[in-house]
Amino acid sequence: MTDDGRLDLSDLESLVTERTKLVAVTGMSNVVGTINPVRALADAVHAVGGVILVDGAQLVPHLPVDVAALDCDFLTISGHKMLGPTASGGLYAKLEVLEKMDPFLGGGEMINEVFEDHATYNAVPAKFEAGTMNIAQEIGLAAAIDYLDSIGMEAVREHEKALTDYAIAELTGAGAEVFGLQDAEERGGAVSFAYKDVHPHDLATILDERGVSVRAGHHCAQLLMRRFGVPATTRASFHIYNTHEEVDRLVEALGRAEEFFGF
Amino acid sequence: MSLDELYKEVILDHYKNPRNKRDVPGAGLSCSRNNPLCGDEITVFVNLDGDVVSEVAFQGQGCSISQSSASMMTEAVAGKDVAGTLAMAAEFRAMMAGDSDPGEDEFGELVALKGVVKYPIRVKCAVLAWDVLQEALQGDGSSAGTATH
Repeated sequence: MTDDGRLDLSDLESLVTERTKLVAVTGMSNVVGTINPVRALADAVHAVGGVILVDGAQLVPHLPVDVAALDCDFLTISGHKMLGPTASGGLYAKLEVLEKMDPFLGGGEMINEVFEDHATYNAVPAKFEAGTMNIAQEIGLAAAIDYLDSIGMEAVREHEKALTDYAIAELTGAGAEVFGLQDAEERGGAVSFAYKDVHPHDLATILDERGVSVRAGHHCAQLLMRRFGVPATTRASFHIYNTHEEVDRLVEALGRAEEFFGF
Repeated sequence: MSLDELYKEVILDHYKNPRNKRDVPGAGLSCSRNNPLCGDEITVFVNLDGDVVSEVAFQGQGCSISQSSASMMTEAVAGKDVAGTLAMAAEFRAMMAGDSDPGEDEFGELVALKGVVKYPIRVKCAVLAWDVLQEALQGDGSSAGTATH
């Protein structure tokens, strides 16, 4: 990562070589919101004959995504990050890639014909959908997707951009250090910050008391925490249901933490 | 239970002015652990005089709960024998699980941490130092590892 919070591509040529089979990258950082240059990475990976998997858990819920334009081979989504039920999700993949792959699970619907010494498999996608799926959860996810579509992902993005810019300005103004890119044009609404010397877990409890829900911890990104030189960060994040007034409440609650700990 | 009660003065005092926070080179027993979920780290050093905990100190970093708990622990167990220390660790864990309600006469300042029970996600912070101390006393005396909760 560069100092300002971008994926460091300066040594991409030495990292992605003819030995590269698969590159997995997040579309948007769950810690600092950086929107990664997926298309440029996909082009580099394809140039050496590899495939690219994009973790879309943060990207897809927050802005319009066109898999053809990104030219990614795989894209994963997580339902509970996009107003859907827990334990729902999905995998997009290019048909020609899926057709080359063997099934990873046996069970009903993935099979075509069974012989004593071999079997043939059903067509994609049934080949990868062995047994009973999470039917209820996926129907719930479909409803969530319809709902987001009815609002429009452009509108979702615009709302979150405005909130993110506002939050970064207000947090910084209150004396917090916001990690990563500072302009919402290049990032999503996961806003990680440090506030003076208040430990993130203490801060999260104080904010919780004020009705402000944040995440405190390393966000499953321990390498990034080391890069920032912190054990953990406090992270506020936004979606369509958040408001500017809630950002104000967050900033106001920071003042309470300072008063409490006397830093 | 309000936040002000949770972070009683005593917790903040131990957090800002931790007792026995120092390295003990050549300690008879020591153990390090971190909690990967929150990044808290505690190392406990113990010297025994026969069966008695004659010196106990800690090093570490983390939130106010984990660091104040470690500080209070070092004062609470100094001078106890090993069996008494382990019994106190068990009692402390029971207190943090909400299964025991020791009084101040028995537990001293440690009762200040009772309020943490109301914040289940923070209980692990309070218990970490005690887990490390117990492992130092019961393990091979030079273990390092990762807390499992």
